[in-house]
Amino acid sequence: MGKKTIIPFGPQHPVLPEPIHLDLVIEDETVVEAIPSIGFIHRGLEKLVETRDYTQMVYVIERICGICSFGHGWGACSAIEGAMNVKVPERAEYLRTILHELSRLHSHLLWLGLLADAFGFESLFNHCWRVRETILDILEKTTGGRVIFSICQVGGMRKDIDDETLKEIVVTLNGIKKDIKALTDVFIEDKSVKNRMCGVGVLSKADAEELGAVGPVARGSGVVQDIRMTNGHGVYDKLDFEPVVEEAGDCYARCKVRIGEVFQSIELIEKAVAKIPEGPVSVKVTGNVEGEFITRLEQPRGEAYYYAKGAGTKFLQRMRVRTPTNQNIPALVKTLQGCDLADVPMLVLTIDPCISCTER
Amino acid sequence: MATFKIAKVLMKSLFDKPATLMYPVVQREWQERTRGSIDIEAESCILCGICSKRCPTNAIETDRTTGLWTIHRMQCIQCGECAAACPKKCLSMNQKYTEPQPEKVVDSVEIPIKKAAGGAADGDLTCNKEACVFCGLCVKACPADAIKVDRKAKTWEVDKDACAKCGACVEKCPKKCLSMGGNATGAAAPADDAKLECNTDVCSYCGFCATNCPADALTVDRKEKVWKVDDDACAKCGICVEKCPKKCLTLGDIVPEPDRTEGKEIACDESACVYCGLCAKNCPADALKVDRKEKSWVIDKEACVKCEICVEKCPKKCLQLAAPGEAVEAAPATGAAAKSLPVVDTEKCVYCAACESECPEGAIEAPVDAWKVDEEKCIGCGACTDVCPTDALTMK
Repeated sequence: MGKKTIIPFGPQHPVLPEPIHLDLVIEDETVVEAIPSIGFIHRGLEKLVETRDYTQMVYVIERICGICSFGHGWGACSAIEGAMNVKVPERAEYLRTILHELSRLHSHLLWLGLLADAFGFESLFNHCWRVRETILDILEKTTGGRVIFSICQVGGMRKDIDDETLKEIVVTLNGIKKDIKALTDVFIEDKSVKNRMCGVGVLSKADAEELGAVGPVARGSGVVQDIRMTNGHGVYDKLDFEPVVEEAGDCYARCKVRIGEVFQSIELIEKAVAKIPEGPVSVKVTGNVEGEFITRLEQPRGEAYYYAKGAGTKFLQRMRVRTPTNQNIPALVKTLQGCDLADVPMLVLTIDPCISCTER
Repeated sequence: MATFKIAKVLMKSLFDKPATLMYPVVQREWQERTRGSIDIEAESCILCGICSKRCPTNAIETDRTTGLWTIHRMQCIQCGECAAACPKKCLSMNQKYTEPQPEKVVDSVEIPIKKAAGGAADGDLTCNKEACVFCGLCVKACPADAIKVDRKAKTWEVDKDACAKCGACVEKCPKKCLSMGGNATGAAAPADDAKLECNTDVCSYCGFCATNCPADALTVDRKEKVWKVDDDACAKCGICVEKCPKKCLTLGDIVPEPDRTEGKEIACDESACVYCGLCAKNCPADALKVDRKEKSWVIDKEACVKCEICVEKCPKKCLQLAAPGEAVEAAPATGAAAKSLPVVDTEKCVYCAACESECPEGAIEAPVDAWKVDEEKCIGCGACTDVCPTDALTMK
């Protein structure tokens, strides 16, 4: 037994895309305890409801995060729509689902790149981001922005995407499927990659449930939990959705869940494009929000909550977002106990932390 | 072999052309929908300020005094809300981004403000007090709240610092006594003994004169067919003469001007209409027919006197006086407007729930011995009183 020392990890660290700070209590090379602290990137976006009306607030909420921005916009819209009892046209729901899956694709490919970077596989990192660029091009073409879309509005979508473009999207996605497969095979089969991930940071199913883990972290530990199948937001109920679940609970399992979801997203988009109905994409919304509403949706990183409360004025009283990383930090702290110091970056990355979301 | 899985990808990229563009030699092609930066077409801008109100990041400033439209480029988030909200469509989305700069970029565009016709551009706003009737319409028209009028004390004041010299008041003044530069002559003031009179043979008692009277000197009762003027209160401004849809009013020499409502018709935004029938009930000319079951709203254009009482009474604000073919959109409900509510006489009520199914807004619940109306939801249309078989409901 060696003497206990504390090593600060973050908020600035080569492996961290965003600032989270961990105080690692080390004995020899083993972490015995990790104390997380956040608060480096708080912007007070929720407070802005007091000075921005509810239609403007959608653009603000969307800018919580640059990666899962579509989901945030959608969540804010559907919370407000729910409170105002607005029924969104079906075509808009389909378009939202398609765009949400596209942002999941780009989020997961970004994460795969970051993971490769974390274990020092630079060329794999760059190839993942090269493929991701195709998705960003599709998003720019359909919405006008690469990562911030501003296409969701209370009552539907601001712009329609014509059927021809939708078919093109499916063709493009099927075209890059082979590219993605070549890269994900490396993650799944390469021996050095497996050495870094297999059996590292095991989170048992019981722990995942107890600590309230969400998203791919929970699904990597065998918890069958996905808002896309339970809550029926969007049109997932019409697309025969089955969540991707792995049992092992280690970094490798979490990676495999996300890889599975990449291909699943392409399939979901294909099914949605085949079924999308004709019709309007938005309804006119008049009046102010009165009452409160809570809605959940599955972000690329897991389940997110959106809460809106209004008192009949054009400004909401409260808008609250609970993001997936917030839920996954306890699971991270648990898995960090007893791991090697060299594995810490891998563990931090496999929960796919988004600190901007967490602090808002 | 698994170890060399990536070899194929790497070999391919070794011989392929680069995945990145050789910027700035090769420029990226923008997509049609790319949101880069906001452009303004200064000629059509009227500096209404809607863009600055809609902007979620307060990146746009409009100033009518200096005539400047300003955008803080680094504050703009390119959401496109301003371009979508602009009533003159002078804002548009440019696909090109703002060039990177070491400092925060602020772009100002000078907007030529249309001055009032005949007004001197540099002159101060003046009022020919001899012609002025202190009706206060200029106060309502002023976007800068620069004018103060007291009708009782007969004073008219302008705050010269606040005045934007936009000329909106000059246009609105019914007596033409306002001007920029002090050359207003004013329309001929009515002689002191001129009296406002109404030709009751033509009058439909629509009350539009009373609604528009700045002095509240008129009383009109449609049911009793009474039209009265309080001669002491009447400012003799002639606004009512101008507004009267039936052209039955005269004031001394002032005779009705050409019809303001010429070529316009009452139109209904049926997407917002709940067919409550309140418009039809209030129409003095019985020109409207509303059938809620059939969801039909029909206007007899011959009978309509364009008094706009229905527009005022409509609880959903879906009616509008518009030129034929012009799109009519329901204004957002204000919610605060005073409304009458149905009151039940429990002696008479048989709890048949006919009112419950008739209510267009679902505001009524009528279980036995517990009839109630949701005061928030009720729009005061009185549809329930029409269907009540026992006359147990009254609007109060």
